[in-house]
Amino acid sequence: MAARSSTAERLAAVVWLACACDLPRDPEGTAERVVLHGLRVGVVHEPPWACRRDGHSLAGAEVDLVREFARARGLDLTFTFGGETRLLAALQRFEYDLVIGGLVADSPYADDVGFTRAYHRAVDGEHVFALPPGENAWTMQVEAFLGGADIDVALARGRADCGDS
Amino acid sequence: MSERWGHTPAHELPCSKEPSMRRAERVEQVSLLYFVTAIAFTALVMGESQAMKTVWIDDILGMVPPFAVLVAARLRRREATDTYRYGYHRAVTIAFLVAAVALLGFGIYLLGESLYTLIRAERPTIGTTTLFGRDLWLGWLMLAALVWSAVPTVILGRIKLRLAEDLHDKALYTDALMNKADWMTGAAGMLGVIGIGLGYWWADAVAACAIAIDITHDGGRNLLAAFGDLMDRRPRDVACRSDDPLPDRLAAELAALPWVRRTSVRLREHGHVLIGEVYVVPVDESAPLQRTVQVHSVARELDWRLTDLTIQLVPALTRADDEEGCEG
Repeated sequence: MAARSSTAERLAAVVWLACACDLPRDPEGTAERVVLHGLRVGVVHEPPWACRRDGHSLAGAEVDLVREFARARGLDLTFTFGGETRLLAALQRFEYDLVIGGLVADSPYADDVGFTRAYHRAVDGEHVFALPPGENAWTMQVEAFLGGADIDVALARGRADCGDS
Repeated sequence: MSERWGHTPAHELPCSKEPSMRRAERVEQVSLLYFVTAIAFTALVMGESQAMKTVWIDDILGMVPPFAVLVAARLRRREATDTYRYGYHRAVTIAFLVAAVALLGFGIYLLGESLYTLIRAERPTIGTTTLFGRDLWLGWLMLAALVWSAVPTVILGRIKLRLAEDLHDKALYTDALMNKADWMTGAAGMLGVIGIGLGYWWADAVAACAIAIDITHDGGRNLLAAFGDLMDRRPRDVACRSDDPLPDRLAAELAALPWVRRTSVRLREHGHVLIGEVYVVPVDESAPLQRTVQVHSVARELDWRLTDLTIQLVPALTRADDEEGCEG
């Protein structure tokens, strides 16, 4: 009887500790690193979500959303334009903090990288941002931003800038 | 009730045990309903967590023993038919064999998958969920689901354990043991989820491995028990810890009869009842019918589970034809 209650007490103590410590945290500390060293974003060409206008300047609904996110938090921002496979593989190695460009939740990369919850549902699938795997504090920050963002406005601007294909 | 020879009778509990049996059935019905809610809750919140997936499968497999107990409670009252003349008592053993194989198979599969997750260093991404208009880390709901699945199960397990010992019901006993051990599954799962929260990505896979080992262990133990039952191992006590003293006690009671020279008792378990043969060497050849009937009544008075015995009067405990070897 004594042994059992002490197990229960220990478990309760662990739960209490967990509540007190502002969970979840990032294993690789992504949320803190973007504040110190800036946000590294991989961009996949996928109008109207992300595209390159006039050869080099980036535009699109998700690019606009990321710019808004970085501005609101005062983060430095670096975009890298590239192919989905290469960018997501690099994301898995924690070389980027975010990959965007019309990604949907039903993806073969779902086991290798983290996805936010769906922020927009369309006929082509549930749209998500890709994140380094298991960075849960960072995931929650991005999800909180996407939850409050006006997707329809961003999408309309993305269509105007990229040209709807 | 009149019983036909060569038909194993339906099992009737002594009147003193009936309330316990009714209570056991009610507890198992509550268990089943409760497991359905726990399985649904876990399915909703399990996300990418390997530990939660393992707990979920553990909960699903945990429905088999209560189901087996309830089916067995119906079948034990069923009379033997011309096709199944030993009655339906053994159906429980088959249910347990199936459950044991499922536990063992899933345990090994989950252990392999969890180890693979650990080796590949797959990191579970657990994000936000919205509950009553507020954003919440999904991990908190996982912890709630684990508490919901573990705490009442442990309480149910303790109730079942008492009933199982009273009723000498092995199916109920196994179910009770598995339920009682559920706090370990719950605690392992909670440590896994809290570990993820604290930034230890490996905690989830390690917790899943621990739970998978426990499932495998349950499966192995139940498989051995079912194997022993189907091989007609000599009866064991309800906890399968030691041999049931009943065959020896029956032999001793019979040896005390004045006309008995020697006896040999062979019993096997058929679900709740014991079936078997009694070989008796009498001192002389008078009154064989009365003596056979007397052996029956001695057995019946000794224990309520001795319902179907075959009694054979033999001249000696070794058969004469056994002596003939091939070389003869």
